[in-house]
Amino acid sequence: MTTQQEIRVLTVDDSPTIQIMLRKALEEAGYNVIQGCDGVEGLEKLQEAAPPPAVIITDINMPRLDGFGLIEAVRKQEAYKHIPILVLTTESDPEKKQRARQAGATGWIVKPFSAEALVAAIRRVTA
Amino acid sequence: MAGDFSAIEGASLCLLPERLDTAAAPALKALLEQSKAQAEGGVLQLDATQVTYVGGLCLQILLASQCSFVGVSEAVREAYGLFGVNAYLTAPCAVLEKKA
Amino acid sequence: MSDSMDEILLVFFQECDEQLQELERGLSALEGGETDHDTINAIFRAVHSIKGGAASFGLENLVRFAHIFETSLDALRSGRVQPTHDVIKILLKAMDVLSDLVTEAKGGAGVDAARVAESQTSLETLHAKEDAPDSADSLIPADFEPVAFDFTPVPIDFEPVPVSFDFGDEPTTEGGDGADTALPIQVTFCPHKALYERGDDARNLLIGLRDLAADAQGEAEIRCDVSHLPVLTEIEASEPCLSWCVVLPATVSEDSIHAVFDWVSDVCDITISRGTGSGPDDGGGAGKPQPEHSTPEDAVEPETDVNGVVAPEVEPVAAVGSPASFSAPLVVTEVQPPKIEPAGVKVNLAAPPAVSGQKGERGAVKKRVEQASIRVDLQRVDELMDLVGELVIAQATLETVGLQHDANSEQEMARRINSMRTLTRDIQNAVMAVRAQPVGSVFQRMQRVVREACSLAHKDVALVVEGEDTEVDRTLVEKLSDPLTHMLRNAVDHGVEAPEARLAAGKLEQGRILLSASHRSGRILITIQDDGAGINQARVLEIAVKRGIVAPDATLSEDEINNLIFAPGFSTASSVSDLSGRGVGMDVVKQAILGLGGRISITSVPGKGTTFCLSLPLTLAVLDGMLVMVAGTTMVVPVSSVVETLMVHKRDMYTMPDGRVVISIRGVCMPLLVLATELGLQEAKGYSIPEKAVILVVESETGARVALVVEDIKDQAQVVIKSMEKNYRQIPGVSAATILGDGSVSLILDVPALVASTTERADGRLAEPASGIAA
Repeated sequence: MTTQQEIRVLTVDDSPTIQIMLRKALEEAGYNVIQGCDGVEGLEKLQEAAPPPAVIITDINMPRLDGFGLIEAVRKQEAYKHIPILVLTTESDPEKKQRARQAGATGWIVKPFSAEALVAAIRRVTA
Repeated sequence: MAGDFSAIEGASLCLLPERLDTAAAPALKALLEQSKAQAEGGVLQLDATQVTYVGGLCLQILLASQCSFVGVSEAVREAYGLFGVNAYLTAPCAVLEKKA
Repeated sequence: MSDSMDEILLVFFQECDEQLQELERGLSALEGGETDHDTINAIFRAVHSIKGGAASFGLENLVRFAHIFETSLDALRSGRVQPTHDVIKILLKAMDVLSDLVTEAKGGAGVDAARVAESQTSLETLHAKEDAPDSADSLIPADFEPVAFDFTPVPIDFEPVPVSFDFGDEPTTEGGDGADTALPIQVTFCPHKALYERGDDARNLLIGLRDLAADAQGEAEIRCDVSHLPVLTEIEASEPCLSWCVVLPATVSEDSIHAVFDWVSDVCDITISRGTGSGPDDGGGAGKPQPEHSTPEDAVEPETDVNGVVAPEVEPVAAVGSPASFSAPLVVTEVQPPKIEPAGVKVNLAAPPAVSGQKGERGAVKKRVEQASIRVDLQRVDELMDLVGELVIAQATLETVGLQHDANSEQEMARRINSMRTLTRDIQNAVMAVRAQPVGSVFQRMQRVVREACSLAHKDVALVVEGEDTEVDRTLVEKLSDPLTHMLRNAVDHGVEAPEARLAAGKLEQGRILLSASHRSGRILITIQDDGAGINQARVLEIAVKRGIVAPDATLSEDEINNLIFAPGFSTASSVSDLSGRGVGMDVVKQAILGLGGRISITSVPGKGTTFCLSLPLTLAVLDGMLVMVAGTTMVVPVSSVVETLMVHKRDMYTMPDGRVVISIRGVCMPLLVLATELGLQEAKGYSIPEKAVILVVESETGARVALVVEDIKDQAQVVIKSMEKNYRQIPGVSAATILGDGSVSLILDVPALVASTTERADGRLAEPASGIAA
């Protein structure tokens, strides 16, 4: 089994509460967590991260650049376009889901999330 | 499970990179093509002992190369099992030869 | 565990407060006609975030209400509902309810269910027009368990709601409906290029299927169709050409398989069928250009079998690793302090000095918790860090210089100390900046105060806020809340007239209160200005006399009458109204402001309105002082109140008939105050002003100027403020004390009080004897 220590996860969410929960859940599962508070900062953190994260988890509703914008931007960059991106949101609107699919999201997790479901979702796209 | 890999006398060897994910597919294709060209028609064998991940796109390149392995990592063995292509670990895969 | 939960909860509540402010700001902007997308989006996001966090903690009431609120806002966002005045009113009400629900969740007062229901109903009317109301409970899963507010029952994974990875919003049960569930289920799928472009991989789907089999205590039989695989040179690296056929145990449900493929249903051809997995004919085959043979065995056609090897029997793959083995370890480690990388860092501050006993014990405890941390702009912390770095360097050079004993060393030492002084000041400013907070957070809360006061008093008043970006020390911001609340209630209740009266007076029906903040000469100035009827002085005087606050025959100036409302036990309302009659008078407000080192003044124009001015120090810790000699002792005059210093000849001073002395400086006359006699340090009798006197021209917030006569000006320095009241008692004319570099105690003069006492005397009344010092 590969150790997860070196697996980086970038989480992008404007809610400090969610960010702390994500950090806690992921760090307990042995991931290395990087965080950004909106799409713009998410992209910045992505560029700064070396090695790049194995997976990105993003919210949809965020100031400056929302989740759709973030996904589209990531998919346009050669170096990052294959990184799995999981959407983490309270939204369940099929239209939003379709938009996320078209933007290039790899999966959709509904808030509130359980640490197990989250880790399982990440494992599914990174294992 | 067939687990014996052996180096063929006089064969060229190509060491595969660690991560064979979607992003690595074009480079893997180039690497294998180049290695085959360098082998000049001789046998090319793959060293997959360093590989930690095999994705769908790289898998098909590996299969299409029809090369045999001199050794594989546990990750490769697992991946071939998952993809249902265990058989091709030890026996090269058949491919469609299109007449260009 | 519960510690870490508490910590996250704290963050959540802090976030709630921020989001509520954001909401308030947004709705105010909306009210002001800013109906652009960004504004509405910000409003939506605020409620959305609260909902998201609340759901994670199982705060059912909050989630439920936030969800309905959000739905209405979504209708607004999509333009299905227009932000009319009435709509905004409903939203504002909902915001108040939401805010109360947050308070309730914090463990505060419970919220009246009827009020929540009422707001909920009016919100629902907003979005009821469009499509069938998506049930309020739809968000809340069936097994949503109300969690008690002490949060202890919440298990390790933060929340009680299990959520599946994929959300099956479009169940597509093609085929298999009536199929015999005893037969194994066969899934054939062929991923498209787009699936990989989304960062997904066929292997992820295979893992999903394999896990399904493992959950059903069975195995997945996975076969790969390589029949479309070209030779290496012809293969397109990003174009998938493999498809798979997976046979799962009969007990695996089709829905769970659909769940695996739900997200990729548009980028992957899938066929699910019941039947045996062994025959090549019964499967639907991959949806792509149908391979003639869908199993590897068949794919090995003689003419393509280069090596003449028939592909061996494919071994079924055992499901390896159930999800359980991957899940988070159940070991709880000590939770580190929350690290929030975005936007700001958290800095823990020492809890501010205990608030006086006004608050109930519970409130006080709550308060302490809430104030445990602040958010600070990262840049400010970086600046502070830089300065501290420089300080370390400065200390090192100072030590080096200290070890030298040559001719230059003394001079060098002085130079170093000088730069150290600059550095200390910079550090102090940087720390101040870290502690500084815009008053906006308090101002925002006042909107609600006014709104509620209006509905109780049946008045319509708009609160206009200005200068909310003005920054003051955090402790001040917190302590401003109570006095401001009271003053605004007072302004609505007593300041602004009833609508009929306003119309009769030719004013707009809607009253207006301006709440503004600004920096002025090193202090923060807060004004509360209403456009009401002004203070009814006759009535104020009448009441004051009736209550025995002033003697019946006293003649008072207008200013003095106005100031009577700050007298203990004064209340102009004939009946104790719901609003201001809560047992606190303006005297309490005044005491609170004085306690913060501030002053409060009042001006009123009949028919036009009343203005309260609060002047507060930016910080409670340090001030720039001018060290002056008075009767042989050193005293400190705040530099911020000194306009100029000069030498004045006795011939420029004029004695008035009543004995007071004025001077004329560049044509402006102002009273002269000899500090030594004023403070009682020297007998007034027999004191004569020297030929050439050192004069400090000082000014109070009201703009009144007085010339202070001192013996000498010694220096200018930053002094640390030590409270007199706490350590001794309040002394008129003295605001605080400090300790000078030589260790001696020095008094800090209360300039405005001195100015006021001089002005009062000018009005012909006796000033309060300011003679407590010599004692």
